[in-house]
Amino acid sequence: MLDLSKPQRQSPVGVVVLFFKHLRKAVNFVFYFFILKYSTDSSSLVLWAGIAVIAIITLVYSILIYRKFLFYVQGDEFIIDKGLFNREKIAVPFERIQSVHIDQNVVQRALKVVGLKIDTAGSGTKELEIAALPDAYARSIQEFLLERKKQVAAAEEDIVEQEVGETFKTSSKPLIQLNLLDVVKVGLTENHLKTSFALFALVNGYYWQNQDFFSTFFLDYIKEGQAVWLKKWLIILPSMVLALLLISIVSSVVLSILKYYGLQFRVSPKEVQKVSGLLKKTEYQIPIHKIQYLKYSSNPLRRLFGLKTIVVKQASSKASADKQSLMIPGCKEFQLQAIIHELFPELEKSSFTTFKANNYLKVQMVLLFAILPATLIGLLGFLDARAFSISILWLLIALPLSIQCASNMHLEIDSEGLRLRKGWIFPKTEVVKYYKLQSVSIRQNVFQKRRKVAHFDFYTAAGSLRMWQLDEEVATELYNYILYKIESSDQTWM
Amino acid sequence: MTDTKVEFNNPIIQMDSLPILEKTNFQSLEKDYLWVRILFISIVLLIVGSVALFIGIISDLEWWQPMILVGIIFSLIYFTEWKGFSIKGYALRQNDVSFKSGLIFLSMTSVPFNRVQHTEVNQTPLARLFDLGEVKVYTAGGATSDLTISGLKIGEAHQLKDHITKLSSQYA
Repeated sequence: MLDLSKPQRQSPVGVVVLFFKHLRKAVNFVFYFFILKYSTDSSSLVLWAGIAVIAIITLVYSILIYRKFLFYVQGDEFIIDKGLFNREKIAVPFERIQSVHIDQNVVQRALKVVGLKIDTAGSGTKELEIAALPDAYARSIQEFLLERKKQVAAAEEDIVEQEVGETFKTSSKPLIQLNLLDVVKVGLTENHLKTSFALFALVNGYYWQNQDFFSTFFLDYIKEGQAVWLKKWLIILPSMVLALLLISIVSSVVLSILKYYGLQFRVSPKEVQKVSGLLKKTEYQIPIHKIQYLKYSSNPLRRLFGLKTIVVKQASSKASADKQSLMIPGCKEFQLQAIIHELFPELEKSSFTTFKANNYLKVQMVLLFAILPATLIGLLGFLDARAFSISILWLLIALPLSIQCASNMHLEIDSEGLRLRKGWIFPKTEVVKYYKLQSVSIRQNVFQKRRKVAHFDFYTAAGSLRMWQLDEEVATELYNYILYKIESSDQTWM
Repeated sequence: MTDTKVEFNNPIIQMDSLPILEKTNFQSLEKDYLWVRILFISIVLLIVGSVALFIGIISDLEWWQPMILVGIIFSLIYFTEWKGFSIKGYALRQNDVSFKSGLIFLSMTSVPFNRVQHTEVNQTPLARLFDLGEVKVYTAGGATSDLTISGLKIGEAHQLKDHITKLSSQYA
């Protein structure tokens, strides 16, 4: 039987898990011993001694941290007592527990233990994580916490929650299941431009941070290379871009396999659940009533394969908003329909009334993304004539893109909810039911007022949505309609 | 479920019979609140102005040049505050509370009572001089969706808060 009334320690192998966790941070210091060795010609003994000292310090630190880490239950709170230098006692009231996750990284898998994470509504920054527990024990704690949370909530609100169906059985058929080919497709169709830029920034940052080291180490190559570089930058630059793109494609595929391999998505009457990962198997669930809205998006490559990315948005405090949503990449159209069927049955058969954004949005986007940048680049043309052609090129590309993007802004209204469709190259759709909305706003600047258009903001507990440049008349009617829908609904948003 | 089917296919026609939040429903704020705002801006002006003077003296510019810039910016701020004051207002209906403001950037936000998380009354030191206060209405939709009704008599502010709390607690 589970007894958490006395302070508990995690599994003794937790020391090893913590050791590897801290080692990752300590590796940065090892790097400086390498610098010391190669920049001052000292013997490799220094290097090895340095590495050994770091390893020993990390081990001792891990043991002490392990010994100081206790968890137990006191009254209606789950308590984690931890920390070596600054002792921390984190008390989580049961009713504030949002969800309890179990995951397993490589080290944990090798040692046959799992990690337990507790999410709360408020604290985005506090780390509520137990590093090493036997699987069965972790699951009984998970069950216990969620059970207690339910009890406390029921006692407080005087509402006895109805038992709806059974909880998850891993045998139940998943709504979405990705095989290796699907996962590779997801990796291949990642937004590589974005990844390349991130990679470039990372390498660049690392280079500048340790510039002294690199410049002494690679000085000869650089000197030699400089002459070639200046002459042949026309060849080198594109090949570097290609290399960067290639690296980003390969790393995207690898990451995608690591993260999404064996992804399974299930919907039960109570919650949605996602399990995925090759080395580190993560399990994530959101109770149905906490789901606030659904978002699905795509990009040109994904559209070739007919794939979409679905994000299920959960009610959360702002700080942890990203962590709190559940993302399923590589979803096919019929799977999306199946999810909508499960989560938004009201919206499935409805007839939406569609409103396009006012043409003023085209004017605005063309000005902002085509004409303004082109003018700025064009002004540089007085310094360097080549800027003129870049400016014209920009205009030729950005003009049709802005117009297309603006004309794809749609708001679709139904009696139970609404759908926002936007974007052209990166199309994106958001679906929300009226009773999930917290409040609404109409915003309008003086120019918009003259044109009789306004922005419409929909606020949900998982972030806000915006319809750009809606006709004022429609906006006012919609405003009253949505308020009426929220106020006349007796469904709770959470 | 069956009666909602009627409006199911035609939400727009339904709109004619909806309670409509008209511009005339809005209650304007206490006149004294304009003085609170102007006093506040003047204090900021005093600080920014003296920084500008300092910069003017130590830099190569003439001593009055930065102050001219500050003067232009603040006359615009005073102007929008003055003209925009009459636009600010709140509307209290049976099921929701709304606030609108803005001369250059107009905005109107409404919070239904069944979505209110909690409410509070605040009073800045300047507002205390005029016996004014503000009511803040929090929702779960994040900071931008919260509502602040400023420029109320402090007694009214407490009344309004109690009223909203009472109505919203029915749904908790």
